[in-house]
Amino acid sequence: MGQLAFVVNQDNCIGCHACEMACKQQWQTELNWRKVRHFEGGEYPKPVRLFLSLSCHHCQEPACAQACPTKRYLKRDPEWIRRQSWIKERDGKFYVVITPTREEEIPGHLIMSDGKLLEDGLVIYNDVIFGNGGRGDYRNHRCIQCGLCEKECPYHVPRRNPEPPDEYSPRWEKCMGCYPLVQQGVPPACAHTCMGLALEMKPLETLKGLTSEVPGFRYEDTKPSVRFIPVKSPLPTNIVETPNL
Amino acid sequence: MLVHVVGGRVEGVIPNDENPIGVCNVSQDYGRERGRGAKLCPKGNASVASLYDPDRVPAPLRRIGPRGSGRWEAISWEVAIKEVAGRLREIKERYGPESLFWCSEDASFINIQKDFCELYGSPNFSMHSNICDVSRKLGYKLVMGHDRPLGDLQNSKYIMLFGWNPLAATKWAHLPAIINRARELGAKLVVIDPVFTHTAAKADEWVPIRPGTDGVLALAMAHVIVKEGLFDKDFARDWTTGFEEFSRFIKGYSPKWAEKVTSVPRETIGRLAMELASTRPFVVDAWSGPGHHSNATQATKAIALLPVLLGQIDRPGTLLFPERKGPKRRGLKLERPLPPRVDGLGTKYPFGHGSGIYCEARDAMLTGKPYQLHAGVFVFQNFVMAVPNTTKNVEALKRLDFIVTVDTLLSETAELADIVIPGSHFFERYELIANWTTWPTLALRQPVVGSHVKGMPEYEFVMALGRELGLKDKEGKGFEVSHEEYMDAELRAGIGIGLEELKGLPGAVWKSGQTRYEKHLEEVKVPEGAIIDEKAGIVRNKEGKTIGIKLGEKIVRGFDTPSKKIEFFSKELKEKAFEPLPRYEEPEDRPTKKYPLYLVAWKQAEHTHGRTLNNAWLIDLKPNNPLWVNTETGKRLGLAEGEEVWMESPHGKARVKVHLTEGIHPEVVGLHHGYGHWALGKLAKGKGVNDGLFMPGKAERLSGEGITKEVGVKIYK
Repeated sequence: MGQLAFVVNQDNCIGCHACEMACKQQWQTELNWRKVRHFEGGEYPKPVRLFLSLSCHHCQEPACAQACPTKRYLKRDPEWIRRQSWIKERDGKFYVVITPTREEEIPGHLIMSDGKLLEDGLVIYNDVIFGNGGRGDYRNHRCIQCGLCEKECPYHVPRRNPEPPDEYSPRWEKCMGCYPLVQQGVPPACAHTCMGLALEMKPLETLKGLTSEVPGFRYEDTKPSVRFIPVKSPLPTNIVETPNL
Repeated sequence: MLVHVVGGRVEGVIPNDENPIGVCNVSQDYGRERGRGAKLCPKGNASVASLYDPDRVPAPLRRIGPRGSGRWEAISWEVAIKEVAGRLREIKERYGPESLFWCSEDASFINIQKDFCELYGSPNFSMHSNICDVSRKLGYKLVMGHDRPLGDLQNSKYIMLFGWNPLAATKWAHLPAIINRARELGAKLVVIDPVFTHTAAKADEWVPIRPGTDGVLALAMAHVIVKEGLFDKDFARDWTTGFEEFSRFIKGYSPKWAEKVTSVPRETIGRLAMELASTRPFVVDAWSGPGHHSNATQATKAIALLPVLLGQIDRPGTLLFPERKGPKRRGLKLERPLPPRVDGLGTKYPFGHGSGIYCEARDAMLTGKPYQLHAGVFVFQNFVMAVPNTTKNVEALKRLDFIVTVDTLLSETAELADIVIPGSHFFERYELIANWTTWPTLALRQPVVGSHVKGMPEYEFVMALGRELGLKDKEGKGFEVSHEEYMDAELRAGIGIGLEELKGLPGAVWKSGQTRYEKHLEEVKVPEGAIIDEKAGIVRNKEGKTIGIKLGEKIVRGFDTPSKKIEFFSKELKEKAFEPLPRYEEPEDRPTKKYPLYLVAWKQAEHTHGRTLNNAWLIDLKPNNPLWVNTETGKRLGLAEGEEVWMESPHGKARVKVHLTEGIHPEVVGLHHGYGHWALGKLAKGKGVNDGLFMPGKAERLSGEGITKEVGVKIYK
């Protein structure tokens, strides 16, 4: 299957924010991991309004993972994992080398299935444990709150939760591609609920014909795994982002 | 939806694939599409935030300060029941039972509330529909004999919407999916609306129009279709009445004249008419845009006649006549007939909807005519904010001696109440939802968590109140049964299965049969003793009820109008001294020199009316409802983006935040309805502006619907 990617059908997106709310209730988060952005342009009587639903792009070269000094982020990609000097494989188990004297085992279920490394390419935390069959109740213990992940991500996807519910909750949070669901063959919460049929998660290799740039989104060096079906009509040049009005 | 509960706490929801309301509205599509999963709107997804809203009414409350003071004391359920029953008994003895006004939202335990009012002796049970869509209902009912036609949008090739915003006002979660599926298959979407709504933003063509003139545009298109001889001649001959009168009448509505009234260029009108005439199948539909004006019923009739002219009704891909089944109310044998209603339904409004006329009831509170109301019960209805003309609403409610509200939050209406009963969240109660699909389906909503307050859901409260008052009919029927038993009986009478069987169905959803088309052609069995009116071809049963119409040698069902045909000309209306043809009348409260701009309001997917504004997740998506002003108009008035200015109508004024946009007609300003609370909860309070403040507060003269989008305003610094 390989790398999974979000497909955002901008022609179908109705800007309703159901995806954003579905994500929020699925993981009971303080922050909205997915955000719908609004754009306007054109001239009366032919104006244009666009919506753009984005979360983490599960980049092929995730900058967050490179930037994190405590190595909290991990990409579920065997090739990527083997490339990281800070990940050690021993006896079929994987360890994060945090300092030369400190190693931590990566919980097997995060990256392995049937003894094989998962290869969906989702960028997840490796220090978070999910309870309740993959819902809520996440715990983390290594985040030192430096904010480098947010700073280094060209899209500034990981964001600081100013009021985490308890000391174990993630301080810097982002979308994990609903991997506990996706692993069971269920679509991520955002795509599952999408009223406009505008959001899907599909193998990147099946999306070759689709564009990777639309107004408000640039394809960066980190190689984001998101593709777009743009609106059908030609766009005016005066498109600007607006609040939700 | 399915609810994930862990240790008694709701942790999340997922769509219920068994319920077509999240999938599509035609059974034949449902079989195919359900595999792709049902959908949920943002409100459904955010509903857990309302469940655990810290501002929820914590217990039955008694007001201890003056009205509006916000000073309350908690009382027990026993005391609440005794006190409310005591006051209602006293008011009934002193002023008569008709002095009770009762209003409710329209999906929850309606029959129990109706029973209560009737057994108490009040004719004044009312509900939400009359500030929602009853002009649409009446318009379609008069023309086609069905008050809830639904567009088979998914299978349509051309969708023309007059003042309907289904991609944002997502009344049913399937709407965006069925429209987008049609768009993906190449259907053209045309949206006629003064506002560049989110639906217009997805349309192939946005046709900005002056508010309240949709009927004229439809008539001008009909003018073109008739003039060019493009109408369906066989259908007009066999299945309509009054076509001759209509053809003569329509001559006066030329595109040239319509351009002046609507501001839509005559070329556009002519082209749209030709596009309709040359596309099959198509859906033309109208909702709250034309529906919330003083000429709404006739405008809806005009729009409803467009598909009739082209024979595009009740066929795949057109406007369908749904078959509907749901819980059936038990009959009561009352001791004495109910007195006339206070709101003129059945008298001043012979064509009014059974949900009553809120605007008239409100005016009766103020004038004491036709009689004075003394008590008011408001169940999940924030009357103050929902009914047009907020100032009048507050004054009116203050005239009542005794007010009870049932709601989850301390709304503006609850602020004026004497007793507040904590309402349940929909995760805490039973409900039967007869879906808006084109074949009969019924969904059970059942409590998945206990009530947040120790006590009872509101239906138990009303039944307990009935028992306390000793309400019974002639046969001793009252509220002795449990709520489950009551529902069970309603279900058995309505769909033939009981509550336990419904619970046991997959997803707790009952579905029956298939979507059927062209039902007017179905043969009917003629019972013994039936009488055939040879001249009109109408067949009546022994009791005089029309049961069919002669078509050649066959007796077929026809349409549910008095003539059994589609009615271009309504004899019913004429008999009651109303205009029988869909004649355009200028909106009563158009802009004036002093108040030169039209003000309209709309709904968006983020909120359910004004009820969800205290939901932390939803209000965070959009914490304000700025006033949309066309960029050119803004320039003329010297307005800047984000600036705060005064907006004033003859009925109210408030500070509003300006959003300059290309997406609104230059003569119109507008905002997202539901904001501007001064109560309801900490998060809702003080955010944005309430459009109801500016409205005259009249009712549509035929349907009785509250007119919520018709007023002139001025804007100044």
